Amino acid sequence: MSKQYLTTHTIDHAHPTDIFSLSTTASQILSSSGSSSIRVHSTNQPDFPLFQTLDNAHKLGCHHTAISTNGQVAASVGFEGEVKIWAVRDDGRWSERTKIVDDNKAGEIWSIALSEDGQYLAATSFDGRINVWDNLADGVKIREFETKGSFGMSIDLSVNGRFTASGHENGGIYIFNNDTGRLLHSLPGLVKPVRAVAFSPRGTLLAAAGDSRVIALYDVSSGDQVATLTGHGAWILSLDWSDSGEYLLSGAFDGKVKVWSIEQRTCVATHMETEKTVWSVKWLPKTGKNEGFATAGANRSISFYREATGG
Amino acid sequence: MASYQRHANAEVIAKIEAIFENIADSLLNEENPYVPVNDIFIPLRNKKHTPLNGNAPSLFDAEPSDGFTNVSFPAKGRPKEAWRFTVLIRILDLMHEALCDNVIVSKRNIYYKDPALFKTQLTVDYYVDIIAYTFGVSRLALNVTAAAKGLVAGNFILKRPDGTQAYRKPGVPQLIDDPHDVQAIDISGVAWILVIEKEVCLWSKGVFSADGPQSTFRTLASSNLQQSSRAGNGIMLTAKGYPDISTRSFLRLLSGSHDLDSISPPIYALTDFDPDGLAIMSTYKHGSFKLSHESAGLNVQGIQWLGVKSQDVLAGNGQNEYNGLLRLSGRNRKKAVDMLERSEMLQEGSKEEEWRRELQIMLMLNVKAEMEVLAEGEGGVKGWVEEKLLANGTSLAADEDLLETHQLADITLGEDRFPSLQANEEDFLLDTHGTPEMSAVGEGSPSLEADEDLLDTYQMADTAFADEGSPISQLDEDLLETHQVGDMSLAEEDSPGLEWDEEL
Repeated sequence: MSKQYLTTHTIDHAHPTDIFSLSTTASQILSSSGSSSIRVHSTNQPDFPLFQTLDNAHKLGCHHTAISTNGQVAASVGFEGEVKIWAVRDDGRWSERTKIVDDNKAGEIWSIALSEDGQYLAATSFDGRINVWDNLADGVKIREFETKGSFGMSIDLSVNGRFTASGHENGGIYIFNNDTGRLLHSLPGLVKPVRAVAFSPRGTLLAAAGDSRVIALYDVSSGDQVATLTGHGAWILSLDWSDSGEYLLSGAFDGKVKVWSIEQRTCVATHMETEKTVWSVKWLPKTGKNEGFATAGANRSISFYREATGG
Repeated sequence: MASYQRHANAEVIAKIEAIFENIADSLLNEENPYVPVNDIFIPLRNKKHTPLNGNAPSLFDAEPSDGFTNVSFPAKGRPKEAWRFTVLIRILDLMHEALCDNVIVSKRNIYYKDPALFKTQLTVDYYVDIIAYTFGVSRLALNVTAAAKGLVAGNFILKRPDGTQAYRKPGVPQLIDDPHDVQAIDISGVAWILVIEKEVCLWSKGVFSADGPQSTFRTLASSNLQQSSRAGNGIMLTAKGYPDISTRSFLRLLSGSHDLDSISPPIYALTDFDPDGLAIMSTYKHGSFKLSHESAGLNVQGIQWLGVKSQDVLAGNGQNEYNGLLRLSGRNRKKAVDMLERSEMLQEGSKEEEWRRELQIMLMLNVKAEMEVLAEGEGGVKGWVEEKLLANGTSLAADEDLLETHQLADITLGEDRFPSLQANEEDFLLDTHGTPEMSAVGEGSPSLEADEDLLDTYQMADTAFADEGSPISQLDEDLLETHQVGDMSLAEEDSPGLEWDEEL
């Protein structure tokens, strides 16, 4: 059964250059791009007004952002390799709290994820390491996982904080147990670069995708691959689970965005604004019964979709 | 910008500065009556054998101490030593400048900084080597090259300072002339200028042509792009990597060589899709990264990027297999970040925002591609470049003279492929017929031998050419053959200064 999503709004030229990353809270969407500032738009008003601009966040551009599930802490990482931790105030405005620079010069912080409460930041590096920092303890590194040295292109933390998953350029996918600090699974890989990994909201499934153009679903406890979602014709760059865990959203290099039903294991909707690369896709908080999502990428705009009512 | 090379430079810079400091200290001490006069000197390490012939100035009349000879100032009773001292100071100063600005200069460049002082090129050659020997480093570590390393092919006539003219065979890559030996360049009839990043590139995917590894520059030159393009006649140039001063000067000369009443032909750059490709183009356009005021006069601001851009290599990718896409190395990523951080032109809102985006895309996707991937397209590299030239508005229609010529040629030949007829052919025939300049310039040029091989074949071609009655098509065939011969012999040549492809 297919679903229908309609474009409800587009923020044209939200950034002067490619938008690389989106992150959401209950009422905001943060976007980062090849420019130095991070923008915050309100998502609880119909015209999605600009709420705040974090100027000069990353001089060389900002490739990844993350927000804790509780919406209190945000993290951003720039091409210079520095992570900034942001805290939200009561009025909803963000301010910089700390910086994290990987002390190992050979590395380069790339993809990032925050724990549910924002206390822990996990990040991959170019040389394949996965580090975890404690934001409350002034950014002390508390864990360092080693992999085979292939570029860590993607990372996620399970909502319950128990697991870290990383996707690598050589196709490797790893799940680590954060409590024991040990490798839980080295998953049968996708062979090609894994550009996105995402835990389902309850932490039972892991979705992984990239240049192989398929989305692999793994059972987190057993490590078995339980499904392969096929349909994308280009590199998959971004994944996001809906709050309920019913749907998975994916964005690809060719500008196509797909919604997948986990129950049916099929694509239920495909959208394309332009042929320009979609770097990031994110579900929005539900308004009423309807799911909605946002997409952004090389066309420098943020597009908002909402499920069509009726039907 | 590899850091270890910066360190290597820093060492040499420190050595030069130590000499200057020593001199400065001596000058300050001059007022001190307790310090003996005649204490200002530059120590030079003695060589066991004098490597040069009698013409070279000898150092060995000075007093040796611990294997060093001091060139002092003033030197009573040794008037030549004052000159030697000055020469050394001048060369050390120029080297220091080149090292600090991260530019590479040739011995010829140094000579032309002060011909009155140096008197002959030999002086420079000699002292550069002595300084290198004294410091215990290679000449290259001093950022000094022996000769120009650039190559050029295309339709132009050089006008020498002595009034003579030199016509270069447009089909054969030649070493770039020292800009000091060129007064003006006649580029009438040239519709475009193409700067190509590199000459030699071993192609990982195997055979590019039946002859094995081929270079983009030579491939394009031998395909006669500069003469038989639908986009009109052109000039192609390469510095084989990061450009030296001579190549940049030559391009700068070319860029200003159009007639006063016409506009300059567009200048394009064809580079790899990787950080070094952009850095090389940036060096031609804006100078080396550390802004050098000295070489700002060599910048060619009008350069437009023809490719290879992300859209050229990624369009089909993300869908199919990795058509020639490669992963960035750690060094590539560092270079890209370094450029984003340090290059003025790549800052937000600056001139080269497209380059900034391209570097970010490389980093995001962790991919790069060499220009050889273009060979996989239908028309090969030549076809691709031609399409781009045409798409960029470099068209025959823009130049009515050329249009006519080509139509004429078309009628004569009734062929699709245009022969190498150009508007001013008769002019240069008259000018150069008596004194054709065949051999490449530059002492010790490794392609000299190859050029001599070509000499014969060209004289043959020239005879046919000069013969008014000879059909053009025959000439074309002759040229074609000679190009093939030329290419095979030239391909064996070791490109000089290959180690210098890395910007320091």
